Amino acid sequence: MIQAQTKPGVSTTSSIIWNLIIRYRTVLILILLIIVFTLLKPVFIRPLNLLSILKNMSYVLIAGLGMTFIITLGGLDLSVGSIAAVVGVGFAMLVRGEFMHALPALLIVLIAALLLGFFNGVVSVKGKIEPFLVTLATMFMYRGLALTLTAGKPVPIVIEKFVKMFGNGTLFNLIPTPVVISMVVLLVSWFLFTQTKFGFYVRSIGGNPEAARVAGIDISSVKIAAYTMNGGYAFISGLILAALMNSGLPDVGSTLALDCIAGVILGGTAISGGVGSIWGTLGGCLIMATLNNGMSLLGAQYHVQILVKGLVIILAVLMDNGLKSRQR
Amino acid sequence: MSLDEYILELRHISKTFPGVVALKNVNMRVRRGEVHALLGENGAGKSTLIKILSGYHQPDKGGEILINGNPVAFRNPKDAMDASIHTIYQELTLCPHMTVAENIVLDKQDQFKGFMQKKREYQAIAAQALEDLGQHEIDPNRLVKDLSIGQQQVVEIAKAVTSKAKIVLMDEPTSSISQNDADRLMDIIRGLRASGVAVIYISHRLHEIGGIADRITVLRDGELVGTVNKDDVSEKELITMMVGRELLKVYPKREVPIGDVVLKVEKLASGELLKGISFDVHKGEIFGIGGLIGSRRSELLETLFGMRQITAGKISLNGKEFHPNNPRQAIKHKIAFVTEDRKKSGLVLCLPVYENINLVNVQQPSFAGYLDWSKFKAIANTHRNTLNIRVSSIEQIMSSLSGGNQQKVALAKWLDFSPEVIIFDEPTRGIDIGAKTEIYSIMGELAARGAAIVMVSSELPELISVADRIMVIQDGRMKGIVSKEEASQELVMSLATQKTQQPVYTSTGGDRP
Repeated sequence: MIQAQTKPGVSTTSSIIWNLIIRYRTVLILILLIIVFTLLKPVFIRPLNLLSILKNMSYVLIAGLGMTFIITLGGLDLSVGSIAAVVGVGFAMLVRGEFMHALPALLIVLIAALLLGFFNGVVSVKGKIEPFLVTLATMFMYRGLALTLTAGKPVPIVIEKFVKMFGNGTLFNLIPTPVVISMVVLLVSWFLFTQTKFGFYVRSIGGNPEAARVAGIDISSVKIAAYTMNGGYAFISGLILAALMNSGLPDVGSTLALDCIAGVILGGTAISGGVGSIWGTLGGCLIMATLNNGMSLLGAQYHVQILVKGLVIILAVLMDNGLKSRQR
Repeated sequence: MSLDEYILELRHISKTFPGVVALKNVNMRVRRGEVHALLGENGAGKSTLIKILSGYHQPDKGGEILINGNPVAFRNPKDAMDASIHTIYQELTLCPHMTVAENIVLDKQDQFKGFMQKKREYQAIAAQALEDLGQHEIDPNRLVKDLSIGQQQVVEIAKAVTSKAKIVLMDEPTSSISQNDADRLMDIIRGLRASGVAVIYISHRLHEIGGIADRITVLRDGELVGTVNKDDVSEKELITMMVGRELLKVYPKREVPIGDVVLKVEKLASGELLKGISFDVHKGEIFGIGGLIGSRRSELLETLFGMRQITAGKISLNGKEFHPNNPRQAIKHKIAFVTEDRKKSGLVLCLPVYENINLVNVQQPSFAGYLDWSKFKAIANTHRNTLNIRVSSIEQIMSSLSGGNQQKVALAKWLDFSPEVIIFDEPTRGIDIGAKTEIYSIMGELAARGAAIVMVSSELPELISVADRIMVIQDGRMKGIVSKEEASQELVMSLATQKTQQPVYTSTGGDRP
């Protein structure tokens, strides 16, 4: 690195501007997308459409917030989509035919989701296996679990209150409940990430596990806690998916993990760990959701949409690298 | 000047990074077949200059690099190598899982025709190169990861020689190798000089530069202080040139009353690595541990800090037995550990300075895990002032600090829980003289406040001048404890190398266990 940087004081205007651009790059991309889509299709900018963007991305954002912790920690969790499916299916089965009230059912499913996340963490930490491999395996296992439970068939959810609360309801007759839930999760995640020991441990372990260990931080516990917590994020995400679909679908959320990883990466969280941003993840998920929505309005087919999505990820990362080398 | 006297000439080289001027109008000329030392404190611009010469950075407009009198421009490292400049970095750039021969030919694949690997040719080239350097004992078929760091360096040099390098840059080549390896390296450098290669040698070790360099260029704050013939200057004058002021003492002396025993180690063993280690460290004492690289000094420290299993013997703290299983328990018992490699295990380089300073502090109990960052920033600012950590802001990212300042942060993180035992592993490795002196006086201050200090060092002058007593170990077995009064470089070296049976204790060295 540049050693002379330790000297205080001097910084030129152009470097300040570049630093601002780098810092707010996700916001800039987002504004650009909004302008382009509004020009092409004025209906895009209507409040109802904007709210539907937020609603459609809510479960991805929630999974992405959990994933921000995991990726900052230097890990990865491919199994969140499968956990979300187990959650939806499990809840639907427990409340079917008034077998059980919704509340205890929710509690049981929450515990199950936490256990599945805990399993990811324990196997990876105690078994000393790369989280990529562990969660690749559990992605199949948990999906298999959801499919086995229902013999592959969807299980309808008839509790209207649940569907309203997590899916189609609104707050003040305006804001869809999934948006409200995702914003609450966003704030809680921000607090955890920036203002608590847990968030600090996550960043230091991701930045340099050896230094964290020497400093006396209990790396194993923090890692296991993070994966367990990620099961919790998948739980909320899974409830919203189930409520939106009115049923527990065993094959739901198959691309959830990859979608939310894309959002996290677009938000500037380093895949190598140590550097992460909760607001960045919000921005990254917004970019993906805006693209989806805008392209749908323009009449683009799903096939084209995912092609563009992939392209955007590459371009964003290229731009990131370009900006950062410029900063240097 | 005739054109062929100078193989390399730098004219008006400046380098500005956004916000920082790293080099200002530097001129330097290197003769064919000389060893040219580049000296300067951290942040003086040495690294930037090396990166310009090796093609990683381009100088600002107006600067010129001439090779054999012809201006050249390096757009990338390949250009520099094509211009016969070869750089050997502090962190070696070999592929550990490939053989010596494969590493040596890796950058010369253009020379080989066809699609297939030419293993025999590779081996022949490697064997010839090692032979030329007088290093027969390195087998071209061995994997690089199985070599010592010193031997890996030889492989790097062999790489340079076989690419017909005319200018070899060496960045702190002796910072992590043993004395024997360093001596061998000096022989090799003399050989390169004799064959007409110009060696640009960067080191903080003044005595080493005195032994090898023909001329010395000193940089300070990105500017050229001057180029001198080695024979014309004393070590003292060089220090003055480097730091811009006369250092009264490199090793500040401080008389600290020695108190009771704090740390007592009896017949400690960790598997086969360590056996029968016994010593005690008193309040206010600096206890040095010497030995060659590979003598398992670091392993001993790691055992004290709970990072390795204790298989026999015991450790006691203030008379109470203490059996650490992990660093957390050691920290709870008020032990701190400033590790050898601050980048690897001391700091989180991607986080800001204030977070690194508080890496240990944040673990104190707090309500619901909430962190009051304003409090922690205040703590960081206090350390920044008392330890003289030179940063523009405590929010600066750790990786942008110089070695000496990084080391101070690595130390600062331990100071707030008032540790009773502070373990230092190579406390001044890779940092400049000014920062070294500061670290020594911080150590003295900590001892004066009543800490017991354990210090491992490979630098004999440092070990002898800073420590009150010195234990020497060899292959994880102790070879003796000598007092400061009786310690000499020769005595420590002989203990570290000789195959004696019984440990040696000098009269004031310590109680026989």
